[in-house]
Amino acid sequence: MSALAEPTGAPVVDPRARRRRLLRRRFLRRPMAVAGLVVVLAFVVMAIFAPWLAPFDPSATDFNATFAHGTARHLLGTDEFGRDQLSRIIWGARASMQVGFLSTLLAMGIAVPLGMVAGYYRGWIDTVIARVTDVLLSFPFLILAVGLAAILGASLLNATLALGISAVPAFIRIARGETLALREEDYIPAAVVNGANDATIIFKHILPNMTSTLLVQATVTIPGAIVGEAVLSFLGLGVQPPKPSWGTMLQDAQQYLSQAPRLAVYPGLAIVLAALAFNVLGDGLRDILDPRTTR
Amino acid sequence: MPAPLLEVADLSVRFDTDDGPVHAVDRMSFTLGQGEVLGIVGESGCGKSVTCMSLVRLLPETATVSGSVVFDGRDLLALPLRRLRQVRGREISYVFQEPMTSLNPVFTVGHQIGEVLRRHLGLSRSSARARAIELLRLVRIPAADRRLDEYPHQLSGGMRQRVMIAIAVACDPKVLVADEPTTALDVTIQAGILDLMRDIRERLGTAIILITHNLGVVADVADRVLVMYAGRKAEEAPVAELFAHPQHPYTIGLLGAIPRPYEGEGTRARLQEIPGRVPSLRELPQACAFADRCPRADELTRSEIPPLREVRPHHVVACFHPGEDGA
Amino acid sequence: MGGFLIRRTGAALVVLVAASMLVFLGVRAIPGDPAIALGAENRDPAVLAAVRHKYLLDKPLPVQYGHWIWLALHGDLGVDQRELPVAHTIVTRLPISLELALLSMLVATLVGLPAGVIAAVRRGKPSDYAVTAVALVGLSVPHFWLGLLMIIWFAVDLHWLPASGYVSVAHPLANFEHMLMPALVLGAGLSAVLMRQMRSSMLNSLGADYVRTARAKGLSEWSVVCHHAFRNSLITVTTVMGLQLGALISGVVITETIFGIAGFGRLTIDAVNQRDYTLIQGVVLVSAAAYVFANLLVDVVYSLLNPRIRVT
Repeated sequence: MSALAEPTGAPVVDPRARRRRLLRRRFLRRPMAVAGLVVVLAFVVMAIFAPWLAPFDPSATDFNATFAHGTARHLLGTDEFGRDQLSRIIWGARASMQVGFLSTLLAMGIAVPLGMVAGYYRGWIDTVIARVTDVLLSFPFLILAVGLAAILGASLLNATLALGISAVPAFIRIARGETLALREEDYIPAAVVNGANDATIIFKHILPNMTSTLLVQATVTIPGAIVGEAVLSFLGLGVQPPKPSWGTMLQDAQQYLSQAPRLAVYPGLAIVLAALAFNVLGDGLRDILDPRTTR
Repeated sequence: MPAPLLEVADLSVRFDTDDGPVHAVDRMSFTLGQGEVLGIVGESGCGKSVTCMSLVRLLPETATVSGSVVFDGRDLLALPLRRLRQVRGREISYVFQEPMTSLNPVFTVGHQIGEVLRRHLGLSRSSARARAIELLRLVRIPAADRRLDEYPHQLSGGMRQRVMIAIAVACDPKVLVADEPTTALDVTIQAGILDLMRDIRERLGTAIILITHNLGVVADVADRVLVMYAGRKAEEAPVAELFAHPQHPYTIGLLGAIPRPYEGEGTRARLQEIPGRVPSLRELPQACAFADRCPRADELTRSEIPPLREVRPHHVVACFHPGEDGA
Repeated sequence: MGGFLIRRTGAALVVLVAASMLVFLGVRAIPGDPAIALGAENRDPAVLAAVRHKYLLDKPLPVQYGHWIWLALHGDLGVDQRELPVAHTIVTRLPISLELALLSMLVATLVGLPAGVIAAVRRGKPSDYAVTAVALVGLSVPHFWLGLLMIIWFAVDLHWLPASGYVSVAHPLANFEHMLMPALVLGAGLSAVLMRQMRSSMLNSLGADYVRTARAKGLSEWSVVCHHAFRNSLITVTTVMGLQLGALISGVVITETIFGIAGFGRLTIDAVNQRDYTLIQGVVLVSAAAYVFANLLVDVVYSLLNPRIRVT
């Protein structure tokens, strides 16, 4: 008689697939989060396909139709040069999405390794990285943009760098926190005993387990960067006119507040909508990934 | 026989969770007399804490409590919240398991004791302070007047639990509910806390409900023992009677699992374990909850819920096949 | 508490030094001859020579840095394009920005904290959704847009408040009129953050064991929420306030620009637009120093609020 138990014939369930199904179910139960995702995708599509979606060339002037109100031809009206607002908003999405995603990726690329090293090795490395974070924090994104503009000149690149660098401290903190917690898990010493070196442990065992937290933070950073790009362009530190950006549009609008207040309204709404969509999506993601959630 | 202080009848607690309802407690009934110590025993998750928290409605909103809890002529489950708050802390008070997290870290010990005194007894700040010092002495904390102005993090685990007890007896309650008061403490400190509780019962005449999963603690302090399993009462008897003549196979199993020193005769007895696991509380099976793990299980136990019957004087069991012989 | 503060001060000093080094290197990284940059673009060889002499531009970098810091500590931050001493300009403008910052923080705390508490207490009910929604929108609305909208409504359309400008505190009513919209605009974004943080922190506190104990003691719900839970949440929220200081500085810059307030923030933008490198250098340095100092203040408040740090 075999001493081993007989197989029961029960189906083997892959825990990862099961979790993914659970997360998808939870996500679909949250209409706000789904709406957020849809809007985000819409903006991304808008950004990528701008040349095909925009009815007009964003720089095309038409002095016969300046300050037009919404018409069938110019759905959102035109500005002081007769440029179609709708097209400029669609093209503006490009700058916003570009800066939003690139600056966040830049931040993660720099911060996550630093945070993981700080959390894994601790000791003096941790202290040094903590001070580095503090130094970065002492230059809020606007001041940083001012400084960078002095060196590099104002541009989209300048904005991306400034926003990316100022997002680094938050990611360092998260990567470090997660690493500190994850390194206590039991599979770490098991891996060590199996001959894994530090790099393998960090990249193969710890990093994959923090992706969801990083993702949530990204959905918070991106809208900040979108708003930040608008701010910088508005102040002349980012995208330079006449290139279309929601921020430069608002800069133009500022001069004509009494004549054509709507010039300020539409770009602002675009910013709010994009930022709100990311924030709502981020909130939803955070909620479904929280182990305490019951729905 | 004097009227019981507390009469719990058909108490049931249901939690509404995302994956459906969880029946944590199923028609529990028991009484508590003046100055009596009732020990409620059972493994983790059997519903003992939930039962006791529901007495003064301390459970979260996802819990639905039914049945009745009659205390001093009033049904606590039906009392308006404002009146219930007058009972909490004053006539029925609690001591919880984790003294570090049960005390608010930002207020001093003196403040937290003083709160109940000022709220329920209307004492002024200075008299509350004086009384708090007396209470700290009662629970045998040295240098009481200095401790009063210290924060919880400055005290050791044992001392924090004593502070919790001081808060609990501050208004001279009729009932003290202690939910695993010694579980989080070192064994050496445990004895001191149990001593203290016995002391309090003797000096103040407080009735105590002591919840624990440790039979040794119960043997030490309780007058009567109630054994819970999967949200239901399995057995109840005076303490000596329960230990001498356990009837329910679960109780027998629990007693068999107590490590005993090797007496040096014959082969060493194996530590009995009870095979299997506690059933899921998501359904209310119309059967004996212990059936899957019981050596005496049969058709009957799998198809009907065993009713509580008195099989020996003052000794009730919910079992179709009660009896002392080995399981 | 002493130990904690000493360590934080030490860290602050390290950060300050490192930040100043970055600013120093930044200016030296500007393409072209630093003498031209520091000399307000004046290419007159005599002036250039004087600038080189003053900033020791011929000496090795560490020496230049040391000298620059020495000058800065003595209040000499150089002279801007219009030959005005940078330090003086900064000092006259700082109080204005400080007033704006403080007023906004006041607005944010008065609105954000109670809203967060209410949302946590009434979790899942309509008031919670309302507060959370408002906070979410508040986070997504860029303040400069909000500022523009408010100017359109209150200044241009209704003529209730002035669109721009600043009047000193010596004339309190006029000062209030000019500062109201800016403070509201800046405070709005900050209060959204505080609201969410307070809500989250209160939810944590309300689920803690000591709240269960407080209820078991028969304390009123008011006492449980506003005394026991709130006091604990306040500690977490203080840390968050510290993290928002950077956003506050950025916010001050933007708000001053929109509302035409001639404060320190506005100075920053003007400096870039005029390519006044000496001014930029001074402004960035002072901004970093202000941030570090403000953070230290937050650390002090935190240590006072948290008994685990205050008493060991």
